[in-house]
Amino acid sequence: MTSDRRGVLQRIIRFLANLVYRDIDVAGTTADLRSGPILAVSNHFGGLADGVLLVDSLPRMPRVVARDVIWRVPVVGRLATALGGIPVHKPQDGAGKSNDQMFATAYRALGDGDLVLIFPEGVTMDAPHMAQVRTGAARMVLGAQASGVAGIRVLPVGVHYEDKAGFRSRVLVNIGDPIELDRWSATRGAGTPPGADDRDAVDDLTEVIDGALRHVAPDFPDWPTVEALQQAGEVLLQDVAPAPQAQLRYGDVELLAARLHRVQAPAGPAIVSAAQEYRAALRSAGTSDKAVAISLGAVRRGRSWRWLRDLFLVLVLLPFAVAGLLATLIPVLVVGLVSKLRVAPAVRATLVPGVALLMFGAEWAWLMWSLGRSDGWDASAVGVLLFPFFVAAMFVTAELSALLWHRWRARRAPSAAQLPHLQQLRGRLAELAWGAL
Amino acid sequence: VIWTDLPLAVVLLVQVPLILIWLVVLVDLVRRPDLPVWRKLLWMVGCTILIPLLAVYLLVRPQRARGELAGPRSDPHSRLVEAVLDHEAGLLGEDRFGRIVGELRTGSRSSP
Repeated sequence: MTSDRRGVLQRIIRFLANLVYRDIDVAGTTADLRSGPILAVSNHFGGLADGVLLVDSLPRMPRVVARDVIWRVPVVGRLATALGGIPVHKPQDGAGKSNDQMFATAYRALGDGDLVLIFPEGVTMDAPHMAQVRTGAARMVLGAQASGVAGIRVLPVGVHYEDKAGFRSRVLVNIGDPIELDRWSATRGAGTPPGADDRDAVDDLTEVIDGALRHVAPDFPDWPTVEALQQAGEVLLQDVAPAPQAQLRYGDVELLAARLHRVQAPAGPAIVSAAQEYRAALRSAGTSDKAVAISLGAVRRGRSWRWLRDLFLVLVLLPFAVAGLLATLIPVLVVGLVSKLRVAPAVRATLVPGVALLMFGAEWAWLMWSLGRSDGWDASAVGVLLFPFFVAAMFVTAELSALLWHRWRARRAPSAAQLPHLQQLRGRLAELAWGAL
Repeated sequence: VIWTDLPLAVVLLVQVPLILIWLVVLVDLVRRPDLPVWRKLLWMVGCTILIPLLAVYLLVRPQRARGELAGPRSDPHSRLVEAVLDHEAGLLGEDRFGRIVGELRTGSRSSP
């Protein structure tokens, strides 16, 4: 596999990632990651989705360490090989195989100065926090170092989803500071590199990696806490300047929420409960933090005509969107049902795109076939081309309408009776949050 | 190819909107600061020949304001996030952090 072809594949995956996710924020610097052996470690939330996202956000095409079951799926397996994937065997997929092969391949890749990507938790997580990092990542880099590869860096990368299993969710890819392995080994004092079999070294390094990854990855106890801290983050951002569009940027909100979560007790829990109270009050008053901030004179009303452009697009796209909805009614309903299934979110995150691809593809083929039968194959060819347009128009219209609705709601001022209470709650939350930073 | 003997409804519901969308996309492409010229041209030619690409373009386009696409962000929100994280990492002293935050918070009241 030449790096040229991998570059082309990375382009294609980038395009797909932008189709699947509405907005991808990348925080942290990637400038000095273009060369040298790097092991990127990332949290694993969304099944296949994480891989696609990381390919999009990293400056080079990574060689992904993935479960070997993937290679048993016909087309996917060949694609994984073409992408330079490294199969790892897990005991739960059948006993008896060792991973010597995987380690050997990974050493060679690092020796070639490649970027290798591994999900060191070894499981996909449902909760908004990570599982304990396992020893695989540490063994891999220590082994590579002992086999003579110098200058290895371990790069922690946190992936945050606004709505994990959701199509067109907003995402934050938070790239942390790399751990320089040679320097780490030197501080341990041992003369020679410890190697993959040195249990103490492996455990120590695993702990370092765990800490570094927790710093950049979502590590909240539960979803209500996430929402509360995001609310607190919104208050801080809104205090500084009004949202440029209808919404604040997800990356900004999430980074501040994560920072506030690292605030020590007692201030940390106090922020969470104040934020929960404020959030509940906003909900019941049917208003937004932005409206309250404006009423307080904390921020000026922003002037932007973007909404006009959005409204214009919605109106113009509407006929096509309606056509798209009529043409894909069955797939939309089925995918909607599947995404409501009570299965583990990680399973859902793999299941929903698969079902969607299958259903939309089948609907497309069926429509074209029936159009060809009734109106001739010329009409069918036109239909083949127009179908994706209708479907895309449907999604664009839905998103822009949601954004416009959100914007309108954000502007609706709370009633005079509710205002003092909301202002008081907001004031307390802002004071706690600003004070904690 | 366009206006010839088609029912008025088709013209109003299909052709006029298509042309408007096409214009919006072209204008947006010309004004986008983050794409190299060859990729702009590729999109333009593609959107003109293949109508479905118009909606795909609208879907793929990052939903950000033009200023944000231009490069490193320097708006108050990103400056706040950067200052907060630098302060936590110990790269920014207590004084300077306090000053930056103070500036950002008063800035929202005085400037439009």
